[in-house]
Amino acid sequence: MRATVSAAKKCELTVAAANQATHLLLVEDSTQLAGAVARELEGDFGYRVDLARDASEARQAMVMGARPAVIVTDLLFEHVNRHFTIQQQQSPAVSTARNFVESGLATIATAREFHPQVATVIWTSGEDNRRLHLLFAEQEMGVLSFCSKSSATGRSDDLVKAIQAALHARAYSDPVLCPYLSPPKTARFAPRLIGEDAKRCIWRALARGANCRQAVAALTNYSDRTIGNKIPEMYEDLQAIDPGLPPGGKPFIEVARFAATNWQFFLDETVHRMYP
Amino acid sequence: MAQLMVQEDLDRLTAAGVIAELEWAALVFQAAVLVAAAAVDPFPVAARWVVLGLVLVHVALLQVYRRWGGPFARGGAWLFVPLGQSVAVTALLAVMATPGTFGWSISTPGCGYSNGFWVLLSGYPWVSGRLARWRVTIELAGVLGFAMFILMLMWLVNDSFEPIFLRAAAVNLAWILTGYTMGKSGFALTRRVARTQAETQRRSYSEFFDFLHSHVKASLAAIRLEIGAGSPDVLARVEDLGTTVSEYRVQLLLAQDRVSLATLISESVRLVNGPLDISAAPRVGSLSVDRARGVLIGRVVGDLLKNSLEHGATQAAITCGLTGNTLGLSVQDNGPGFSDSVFNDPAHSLWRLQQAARSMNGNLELTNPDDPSGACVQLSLPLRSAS
Repeated sequence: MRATVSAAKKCELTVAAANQATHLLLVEDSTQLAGAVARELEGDFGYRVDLARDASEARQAMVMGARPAVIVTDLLFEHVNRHFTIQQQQSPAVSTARNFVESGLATIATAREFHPQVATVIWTSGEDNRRLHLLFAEQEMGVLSFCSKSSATGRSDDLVKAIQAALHARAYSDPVLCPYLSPPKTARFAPRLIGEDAKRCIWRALARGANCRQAVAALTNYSDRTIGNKIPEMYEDLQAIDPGLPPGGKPFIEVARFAATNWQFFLDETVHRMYP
Repeated sequence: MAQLMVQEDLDRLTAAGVIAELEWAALVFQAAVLVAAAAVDPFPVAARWVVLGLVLVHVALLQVYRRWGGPFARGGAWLFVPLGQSVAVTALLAVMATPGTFGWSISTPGCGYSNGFWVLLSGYPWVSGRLARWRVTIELAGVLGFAMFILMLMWLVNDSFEPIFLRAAAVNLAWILTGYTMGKSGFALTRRVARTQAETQRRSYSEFFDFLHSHVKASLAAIRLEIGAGSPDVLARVEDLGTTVSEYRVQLLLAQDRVSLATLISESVRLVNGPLDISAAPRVGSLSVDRARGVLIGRVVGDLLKNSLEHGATQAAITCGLTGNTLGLSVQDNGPGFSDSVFNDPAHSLWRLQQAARSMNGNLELTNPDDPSGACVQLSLPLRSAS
């Protein structure tokens, strides 16, 4: 046991020596967790860590001149989502650009705008409503490094592995997040799901809470008939990316349920920018 | 954010529940109509006794319906039983009425008897597919057809057609439509109540799931980091709390109709990751399974990983792939291995899991029995039943 601890400590010191100059921006909404992780990354592994609570704060930091070598970002920011939900409940029918929500994808997109060579790590717990974000980050944004917040050791060493992998442009995912990523040779899901204008509009209307064809028509300006024709096609798209869905199910119910579960993805600001 | 409220299954179950409660009450209503007809409508004395006899038959049927359920609750071809009953009793009342009275006033003997049938039909739950789209049209055609049937009875029992019959039939039609509309409204109301309850429950689940994620898990991770290795007892308790939270999250996950396989495997891995080195975890992307399969897969992965840990394994690898419609999932460890005789022991959890897999046309088997270098258990499971 002593030998193991000693080896681990030696490894920590080696990593710390190599990380003396590495500047890291940690974007996490839980300040309690972010603070504890930052202290460990600085104290034990030698990184220089700046903190931001969400994509907006991360952007502000970069506007002020921060040049991180690595961005470690959470995916969904609770306070941003809560604010967005309240805003939507107050004016659900308004469909403007500001009615999209910023996630960790926005952090990555912004960081790359400022510093194209920045390394990126997605650091999240992994949840049902984050799986499309994870796939989108992997398939559309080329993110290679994924790390869950449930470290196997209870410490930040998995995160350090993920950071090192990102810095060396290597793929890394720990076993908790790995299941969310796409199997090898899988086609990109986004072009199929939201590549077509009409389907994208319908997905977003459903994600905004429209729960019948008439409500979707009111939000999209497509006719009831067009929506009626598109919904079965959208269900086929879903079956293509999720073969577990039953054939000949109830397309509207399944499609609306999927949109409701993944509303943060369909109304994501970065997804909107890439698929306007 | 609003979640989907409409669920056909929920609607069907709600309507079936209401019908089960109302069907015997419809018989009481029909018996009351017959008592009123026997008392005030123009029937010969013998016919009045026959009508009262019909009342007794309804009272007897009441007990049958309450005990074993009525034809509406059974669904399918049983629907023709109450329809036939309405047709037969209405025709019998027309034939037994004092000659020259049936249809000669707007108050037709036994008028309103069939209303119970139309109220229940308005909420009949076993309609689906293309038929559901034409449902209201078909039902209204039925209502109109029944009014025409009454008009035809007036013509037949009186041997002539008089203009007043049209007025009498129109009054009957109005009563039937009233019953049908009230039924539609009542069923719509109960469906709305059920949907609101389901939505409230779903939202509460979702909020609690998010709470466990955003607050409890993040706080536990922060506490683990703050404590460090210096307080092993406190750390162990924090780990226990983390495990309890993860187990609860799996329960919440399995309360949904469809379960994300990635989330299911991820949560199972999260429970053992650390004490057990998970050297490989599968990439499953967007694949989902229904609740029954989700429960089985969750138990298989969870039990196998826990067993590996309990029997001294230090490393485990999970693989998962899809061949056609069949999911193949295996868990391999470096423990002491075991004999496949456990699959013959009903007291063993693996036997129960194998039975559950077989009941879904799948299987659970040990691919390398008695291998001292570790065990590899494979689950094969069709994503959908053959039907």
